[in-house]
Amino acid sequence: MNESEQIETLLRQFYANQGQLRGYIFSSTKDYHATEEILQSTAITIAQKAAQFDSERPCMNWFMGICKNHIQRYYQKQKRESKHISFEILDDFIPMLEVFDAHQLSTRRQALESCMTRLPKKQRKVIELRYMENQDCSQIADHLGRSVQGIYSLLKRLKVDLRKCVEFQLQNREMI
Amino acid sequence: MTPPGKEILENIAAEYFLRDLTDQELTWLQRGLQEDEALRERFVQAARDEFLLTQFYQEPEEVKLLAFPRRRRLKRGVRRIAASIAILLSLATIFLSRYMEVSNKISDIPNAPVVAHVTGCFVLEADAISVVNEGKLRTIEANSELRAGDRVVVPFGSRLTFQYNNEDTFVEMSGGTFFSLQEEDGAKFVRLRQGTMWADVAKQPNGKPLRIMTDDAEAVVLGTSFEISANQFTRLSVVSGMVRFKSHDNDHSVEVSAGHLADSQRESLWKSLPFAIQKLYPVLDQTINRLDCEKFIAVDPKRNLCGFLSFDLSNVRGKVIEARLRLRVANNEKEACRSGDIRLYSLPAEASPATAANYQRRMISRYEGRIGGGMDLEFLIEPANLSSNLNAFMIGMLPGGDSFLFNASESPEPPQLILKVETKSTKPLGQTFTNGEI
Repeated sequence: MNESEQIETLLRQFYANQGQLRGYIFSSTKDYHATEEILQSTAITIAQKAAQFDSERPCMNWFMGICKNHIQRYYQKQKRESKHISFEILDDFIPMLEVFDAHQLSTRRQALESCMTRLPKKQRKVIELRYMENQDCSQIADHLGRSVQGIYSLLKRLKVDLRKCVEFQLQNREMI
Repeated sequence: MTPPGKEILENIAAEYFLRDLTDQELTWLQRGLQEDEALRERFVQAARDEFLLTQFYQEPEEVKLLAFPRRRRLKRGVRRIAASIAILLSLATIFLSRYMEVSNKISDIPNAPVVAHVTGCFVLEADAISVVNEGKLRTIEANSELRAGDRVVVPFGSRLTFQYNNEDTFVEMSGGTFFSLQEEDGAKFVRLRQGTMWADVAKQPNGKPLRIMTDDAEAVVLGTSFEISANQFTRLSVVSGMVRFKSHDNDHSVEVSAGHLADSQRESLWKSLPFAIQKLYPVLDQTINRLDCEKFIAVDPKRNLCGFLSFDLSNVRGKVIEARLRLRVANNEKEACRSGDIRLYSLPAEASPATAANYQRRMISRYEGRIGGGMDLEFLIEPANLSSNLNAFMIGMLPGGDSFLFNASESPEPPQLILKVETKSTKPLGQTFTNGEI
């Protein structure tokens, strides 16, 4: 296999496993934009270092190794301690992280859109402050004059409600 | 300390994405995740939901950064195809290669044949357009050569134009593209993995048309002029002439003639739908909180300045198939680039610059990154977000970015709302109309 074919093959594998890697990175960084950036940096590293890859080895392990390096660099750049679930534990999660596959996310997103319209205005405001305005829970608490713990509880409950609503929508679609 | 019960662990798992856990909580959670499969499932659900909600609010539409090539004159009377190709696939690729660093020291030249040469390149400071071929990595500069098999990454905010050897075929790649070039027996192939591409193509040898391949479709140049655009799927819009368009998903193939378009995924559009392009200029554009600024629309989170734009769609007849809001970044500081998180909000039609703050706004498109002066920023707008009368928009930024100046109506390159409208018109198809009825 020449260099070009090697890159092509590896990138194809990368795109096929992109969902799991996305979940892996997000579980470590907890940051949406950092996740997408690291994912793309990983693709570029794969293309750059394709020649070094030993094709006898499983490529997913190699991809995960590259992701880990980028995640560590991300934390170094942020100059903050990496308080995330250890890579050893996350490695075991990989099969479950298929839920981050772009197609699955897209289907859920459509259902979520419909669920969002049903949220009462006040609850939607909290979600918007958190996910649209990027405010952390203490800022939201200040904004709304509530306790931080109250915001944690509310967000957790809202996320569970939205998840149920999305599941319901998806089940109904399947029945149709 | 006694490890917490199941309920508390589930709470910690849910809060992992909402705050920084204490060391003790993290230890408990990790132990729980190793031992309890149900907790693992909860954790993955929480992760996915957090990601989905962020994506839902942060990435409502795909946004592209465009730099429009100037049409070039024919040199030897060769019948040319004027082509414009816009491919937008995954929104994630918008960040492509922003953090890539390529050292010139490791640059090397592969042995593959030269197929084209660079005619222009714009690269933001600390970025580089990089090429991988035969395992060798090199950077692109003005007058660089491009070779068969080159895999090129154009960083976001940059652009690259090149000309194929011995012919008047020009190609422009905008920021955020990842493509490769191939040439076999004189037939040219462009494999566009992600990003945006325009081409201005001379007539190709018989039986050797130029092919542009994306993940889900392929465009084959058959004659005169055409335009392709795509967003997560591939869309071909022919302005004049004829192009063959093939979907890889359903094996469909269609010859798309002037004033018609086809999509790679939507079955309904395989009939090659007639369309017209309608360009609208704002009926009102101002800077919120600074109404005396006429030549520019200023957006600056530090000074609480936002842009306000209003467009009247009452003269648009026919279904809007595609909508883009194009803003020219003022070029008052040569090649200066700005960065930030710019958001396009929809406001109720009755909103004005003075009252905009009183209304509930809805984010309908977003761009995060760097833009050079003189570049165009395009927000892709889902047609469902447009009404048939007045449409008011607000442009805002999240704190932390640079200030932006966009050209206003008084400037040479004013804001434009560019619509592709389905039409049954007897007028020439694919024609562009401005602020008038089709």
